[in-house]
Amino acid sequence: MTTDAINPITPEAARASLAEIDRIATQTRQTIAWSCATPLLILWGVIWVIGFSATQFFPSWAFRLWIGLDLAGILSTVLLAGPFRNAPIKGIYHGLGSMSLAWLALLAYGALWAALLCPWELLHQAGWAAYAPLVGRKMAAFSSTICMFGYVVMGLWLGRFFLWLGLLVTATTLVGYYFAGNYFFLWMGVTGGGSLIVAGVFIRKFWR
Amino acid sequence: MPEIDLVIHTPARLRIMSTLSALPPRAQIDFRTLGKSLELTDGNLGAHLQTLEEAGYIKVEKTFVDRKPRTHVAASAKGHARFAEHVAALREICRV
Repeated sequence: MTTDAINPITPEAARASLAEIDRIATQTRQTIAWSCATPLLILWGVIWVIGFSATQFFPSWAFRLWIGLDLAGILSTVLLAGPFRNAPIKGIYHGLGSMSLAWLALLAYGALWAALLCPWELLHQAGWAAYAPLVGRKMAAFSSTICMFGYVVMGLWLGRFFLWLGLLVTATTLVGYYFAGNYFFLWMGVTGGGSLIVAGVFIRKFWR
Repeated sequence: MPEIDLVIHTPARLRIMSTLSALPPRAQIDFRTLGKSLELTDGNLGAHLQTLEEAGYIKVEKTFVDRKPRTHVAASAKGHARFAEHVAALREICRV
């Protein structure tokens, strides 16, 4: 189909069409943002803030607390994501099942590598307290960057926003690991958790 | 020289293709949601989708979720390409 030579489209009509296209595109992106990313980013941002802050100030409780927080986070993610099965826009995560399985696989491999790399027997023999600060920092940086790797990969499909979010938090993790000293965990709560929360709020309010 | 596509240029179909083109790759939108967001009745939307599907610009997938029929729509590769060309043609007209 080509331009109708009898009734050509005027520049004014073309501008009106382009404006309508932009309006619709904006509306669509907002729908996507509302339905998907915002609640999950904010949820895990809050978990990071609580978990890392507690690790900083109550280190003896850190291990148990993180297990509880992660379980609560996974359960909440499933509950929040449940409606996605009937979501008005599907396939954003290639179908929720595929994305969920990909994240589960990533976290499973992360746990496996942590178990292989972390000298649990040595820790147990030497006493956890002697090694906790060092290993805790390494494990915190390791697990955080594993999660951010997931965002980076997700960003390759969902858009650069998630890719840059993953890279940003990876960078802040490394900065904190090498330069934050004894305040590394607090740094992670503020920069890592805060970044996730800000990202969720940003998408909700400003994604255009 | 990009060309205006009169299949797409009809106001309702232009809005449909604008919505579908704004979806992330591999995403599909539910029929009811599409109609609601564009303020089109089911019959009206269905007719326009049929035209777009016959032109090869969209893919329509019918499935069952909890035993209820669901229809999801996405732009095809041809539809994305023709829509992009249509937008380029509109921009050319604006430059005149």
